[in-house]
Amino acid sequence: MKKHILKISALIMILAMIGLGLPYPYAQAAALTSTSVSMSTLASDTAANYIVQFTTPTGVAAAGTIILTFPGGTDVNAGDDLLDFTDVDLEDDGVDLVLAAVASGATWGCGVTETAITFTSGTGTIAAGSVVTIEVGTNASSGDKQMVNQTTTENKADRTLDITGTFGDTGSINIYVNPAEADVTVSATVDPTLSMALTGTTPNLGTLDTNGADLDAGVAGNQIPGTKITVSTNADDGIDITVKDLALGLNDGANNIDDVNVVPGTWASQSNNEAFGIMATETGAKWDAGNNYVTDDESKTYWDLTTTASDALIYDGAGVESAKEIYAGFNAQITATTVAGSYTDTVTFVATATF
Amino acid sequence: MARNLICSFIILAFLCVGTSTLAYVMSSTNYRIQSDSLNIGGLRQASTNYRMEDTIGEMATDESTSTNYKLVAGFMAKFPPYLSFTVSTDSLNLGTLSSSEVTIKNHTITTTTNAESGYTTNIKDDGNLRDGSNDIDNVADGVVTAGNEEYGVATSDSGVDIVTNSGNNASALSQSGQSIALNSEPVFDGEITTVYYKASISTNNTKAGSYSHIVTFTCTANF
Repeated sequence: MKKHILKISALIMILAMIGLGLPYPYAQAAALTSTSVSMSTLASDTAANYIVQFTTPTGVAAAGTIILTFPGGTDVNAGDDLLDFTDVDLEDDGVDLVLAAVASGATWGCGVTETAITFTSGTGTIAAGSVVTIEVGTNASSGDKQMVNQTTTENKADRTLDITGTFGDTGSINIYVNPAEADVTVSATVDPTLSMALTGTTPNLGTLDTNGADLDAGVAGNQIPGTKITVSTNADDGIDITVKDLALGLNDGANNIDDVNVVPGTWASQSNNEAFGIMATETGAKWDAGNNYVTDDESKTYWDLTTTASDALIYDGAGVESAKEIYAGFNAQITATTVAGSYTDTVTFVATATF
Repeated sequence: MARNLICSFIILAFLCVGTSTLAYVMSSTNYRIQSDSLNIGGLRQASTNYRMEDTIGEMATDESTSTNYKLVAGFMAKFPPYLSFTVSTDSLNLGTLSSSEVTIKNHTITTTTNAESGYTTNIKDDGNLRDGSNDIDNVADGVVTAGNEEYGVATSDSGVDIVTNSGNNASALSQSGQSIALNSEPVFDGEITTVYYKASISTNNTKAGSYSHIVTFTCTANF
């Protein structure tokens, strides 16, 4: 029984030690400290010696690796696989470690590729807390070749030197060549705008006759009532204005006056039929204070009004508009058989901006 | 004996004063001596296989460090060149532009270098602030005015091509570099320059859309 108690007590102690974080023999990855990189010249696309230094909290165990991965575009091996371990020094707390192409015993392997240098331990180790210094180029004890710095454009895209490896510690250092560049993408939004205002929303055609308004050219006082449409938009492809009405057209209950029968057509072409139609113009020179369009032009084209707006396009814009005015006039005529009454219609203008 | 000691002390004191006076940046129209010291010897030597410059007689030379500094003392001591250039953001959204006010947004650029003659940072763009074939006009009169379609930048620095920030003043950007920050001396503690972007639009005359362009900063350290 006493034995069991002792065993359980020992187990509890061990678990407690682990819980308290007391030392036990497993490597722990950590962030490298005191990381730095210096170059003999910062000039872009220029040969340079490099010194990379860091403190490893964990150290490197036997068979461990330390990998320096330089930012893209850095020519680590001087272009043609020329730079090798003889151009590299690896120091542990200021003491040179022996390097060769491949690790063997206490000799560390040092492999150089286009963008990386990998150190591989054979049996050698680096103690936790050691300062590791790596010199690459003619600053190494036997070095006679140099790395080549990134171009400015390459450096802008990637300026991080990463330090990794199986030893577990990691770190990164930014490298800046000279000149150094950085981009900022500036953006802004311009919201779409569209406005439409009507002036003269109750045009009265008065008492109709068989000719409609007298539109003979040159006759003073000729006019038709109308509506002025004012539109604004910042639409890239401008604004269209169409028009439609209710199903019955100009009507008095079940009775109605027919739409223009020649579509589109001049008023003169409506002959002696019932006709109700709309014309439009972009010039307001003949627009009076009473919202009448004074016209002396019988060649103006009239459209019929249907319940579908797309049938009658009275303005086709092509770009931004700032307080653009379009003038629409209404005309109607009857025949001897048109039923007496008070006729009305609700006309709807539709402004469509294309952004 | 005492008089000799006093005289020696005075001479030594003058030498110290003289040395500190000489160890200073000297320049004229034609030259600039960044640093100098008073020693007892030194020479540039060369042969087929080597070239060497040395000094003899300097006092208190060596490398020393602490938690907060690293000192390499001596006339021939040289630190490796250093440059750090960071921009506080890689994207800046001016938001929805207005015709009733000038939109102003900013970011910073921070430069640190031990270059003897400091640094110069230029700014350029890849074309106007644009949405396809539509663009926001560059400011033409030096001031972005609410209700006018105008866009430009200003800087917290002075003595550069880009106008110093004040009110709504701004300079037009172009695809050619214009200086926006500089210092003629080394900058060891990170010099911060603020870049201001200012824009306004014209009601109905500035087309709706999402506008953007790329602004590039180029920092050249002058070693």
